Amino acid sequence: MDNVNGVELGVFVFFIAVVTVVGFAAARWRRGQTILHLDEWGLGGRSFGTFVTWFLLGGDLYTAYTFIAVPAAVFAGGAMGFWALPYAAIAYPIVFLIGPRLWSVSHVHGYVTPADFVRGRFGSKALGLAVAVTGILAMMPYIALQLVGIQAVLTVMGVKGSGLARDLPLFIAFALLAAYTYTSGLRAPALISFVKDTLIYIVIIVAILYIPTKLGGWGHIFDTAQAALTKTNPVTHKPTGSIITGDLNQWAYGTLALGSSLALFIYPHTVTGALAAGRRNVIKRNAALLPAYSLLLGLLALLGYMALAKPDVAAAVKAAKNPQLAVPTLFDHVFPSWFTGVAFAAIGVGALVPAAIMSIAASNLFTRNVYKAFFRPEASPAEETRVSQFVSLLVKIGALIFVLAFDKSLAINLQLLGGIWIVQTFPALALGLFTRWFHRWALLAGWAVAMVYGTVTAYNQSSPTQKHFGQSIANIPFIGHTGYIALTAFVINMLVVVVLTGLLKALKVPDGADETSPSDFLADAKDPQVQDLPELTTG
Amino acid sequence: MPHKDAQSTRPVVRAVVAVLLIAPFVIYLAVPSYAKIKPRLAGFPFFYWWQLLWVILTAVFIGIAYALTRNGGGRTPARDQADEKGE
Repeated sequence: MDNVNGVELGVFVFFIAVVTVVGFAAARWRRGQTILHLDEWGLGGRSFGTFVTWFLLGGDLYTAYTFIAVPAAVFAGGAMGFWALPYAAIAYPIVFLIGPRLWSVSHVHGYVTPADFVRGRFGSKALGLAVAVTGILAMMPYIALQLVGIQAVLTVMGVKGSGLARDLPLFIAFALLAAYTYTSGLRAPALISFVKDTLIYIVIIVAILYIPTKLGGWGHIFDTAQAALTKTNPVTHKPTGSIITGDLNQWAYGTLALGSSLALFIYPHTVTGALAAGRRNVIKRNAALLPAYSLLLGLLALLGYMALAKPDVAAAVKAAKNPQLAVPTLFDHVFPSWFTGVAFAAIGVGALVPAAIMSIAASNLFTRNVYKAFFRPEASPAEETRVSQFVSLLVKIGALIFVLAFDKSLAINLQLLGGIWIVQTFPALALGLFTRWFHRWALLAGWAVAMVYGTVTAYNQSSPTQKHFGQSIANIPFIGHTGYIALTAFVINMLVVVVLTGLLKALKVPDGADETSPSDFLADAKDPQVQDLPELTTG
Repeated sequence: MPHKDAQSTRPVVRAVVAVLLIAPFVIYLAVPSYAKIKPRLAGFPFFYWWQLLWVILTAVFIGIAYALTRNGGGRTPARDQADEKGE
């Protein structure tokens, strides 16, 4: 820890502390108010309006993924890393279609997790279990990505060591996250989201307006980046990338965008955020408003090119062999120390809050859909809380294992790996909102086949730095192009589901009972059968 | 899944909504159609400004789809007035 930048670290620690204290204090203070008052602030579990929901759901998109992983992918591979933009755009027509129906049916039947809905819709505890386990598993690499983000910021600030202390930034990040989650339910993160997003907006706007003027304008940034990317790599003798996609990677670009867009809204933590909305139209409106975040995500991605266009930054990042340092190093080199500290705090809080929400969502899945459903149906609320807290710690340890065991040369792969798994719940969860035609055993079989195919295929991918899980794209059978494994697995999943459903129906194999009725999917607040879901915000 | 009394939306409107929601997929998945540098806009290669522009258009399209279906999702028109006030 020799070259610690005191000002940066001081400002960073100060902001993290202030945001945390303010968030928790505010949550405690509100807790003393009347129910009506709580409802007004949208913390009673039912009246999150358009604005609050926008912040809450935006927080799910605006994570270390946006700030660190996407720019790193652009820094390392050029246009190929920009697929996150089309992903963040086409995800919203899907949100518009499935979000309101999921909201309605969940509020009629008291579903709190995606697995609750699948169990009730298809009358199958086993299918609910499959969805829950997938959600927990998929959350881990996504949380790992947040840890990598905090780690990157700490590294650039000079918090690093050698030997045993080499992973020091990572363990500090982990300890921060564990402390964050332990003390809170979902209340505090919801409030902190406001502070966090405001901080993030200031940093983004300054970065996007200020840095290009320092680097000679956008045109110059793109030209310099192109020159840097087309230089041949001394090891592979190939250019590292280009600022536009080439003939070889059009399929990869499109399938990464499409596959990820299927995943966005079925992650357990996004479902929680959406169900906390007060009315079904809040979700529809948000589908139209959330792309504002995507626009900024696109501009942030271009920070990767700015890092390439500034020779001292590019050299430092390449010397460290860690593209995740691109944005932190860029900030460190162009901003005055105090503002770099603010920016790093924004990234830090922007990683901690979503990671906390994700680990709570994962542990709720376990408690409701595994522990209570299979082992202890009569568990007391106190016992549930204890189990939840314990599992949430296990989930974070799982995330830590992902960080340590996996190739950090491109952190975006962690999120893509989570996507491969979570997309396999799309047929039961998202399509199940529209049709009950699928047979429960067919859905379970399709899920199982696709999970195995996706995991094995991902395992077999090597990269220059890692033998297994090196990348999340692979050859698509029968098509002869490279594409996102999640989407290929999804197609296989659907084929199995459709064929087996036909077969099982022909054989008259008994299907599960559907506890929902068509009108449940259209119910809105104030309908007599619509209920509050207090578990969402107090859990 | 059409529901007799619930989906009062007319077929023409539903078709328009479908087009609005499918268009972004068609645009973005036609990757080779925008994988080029020129024409540039304010220094941005076509690849970038075209995709950024479509983020805005996607939002606008969803906004229109929302305006068109506002009365079709909830079950009674009265509920939508409550919605408007609820802002």
